Amino acid sequence: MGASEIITIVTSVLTGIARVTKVTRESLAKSLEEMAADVRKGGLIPDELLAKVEADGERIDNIRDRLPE
Amino acid sequence: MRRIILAVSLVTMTGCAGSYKASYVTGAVTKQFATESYEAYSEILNKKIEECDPENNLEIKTKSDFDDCLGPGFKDEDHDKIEDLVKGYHAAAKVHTDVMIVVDASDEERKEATQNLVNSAINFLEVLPNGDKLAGKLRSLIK
Repeated sequence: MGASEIITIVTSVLTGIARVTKVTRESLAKSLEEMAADVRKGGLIPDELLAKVEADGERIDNIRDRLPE
Repeated sequence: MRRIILAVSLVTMTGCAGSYKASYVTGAVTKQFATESYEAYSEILNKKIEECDPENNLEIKTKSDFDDCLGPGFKDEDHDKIEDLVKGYHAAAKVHTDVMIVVDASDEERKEATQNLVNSAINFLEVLPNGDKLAGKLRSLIK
């Protein structure tokens, strides 16, 4: 793993933690009605994550499929 | 007597609200952290795919050349493992959301669904490069 990858990971993790802290603060500030409304809208189902993982997998498969064993 | 009933009702309602909030916050934090972690991984993966694409790299002639170029944690079989675990995590998130919507779900049901959601997120985080640290960070955030 190169220096640029390590920097990318460290930066992403720090940004991620800052965002998670923000989410925690916002979640704690929500009323029960707001939380229930968020849940009903599907706010706790990580659809975008699954879509991104599948798209990355497809990208790998598309290149591999063009190559011989 | 009325006062006792009122006090018991208030304590029960506060307890239920607190439990609901705890399940909600843990769910929201878990979702955010898992998504952020995968996005960081995906950024590196996509750079590697670009570098290892035979259209950009003439040394890549076979499937195993491509896998070697992507490297451990990023090659096809490793990504397939991540994809399977994300599917498990996604299913656990659906159950968690259902339990959070049902009005008469018990605290125990909510706690169990939340624990399953966290466990499946940790299972998936652990297979990412640097996964032990990511899983440890999530554990400390929701403690």
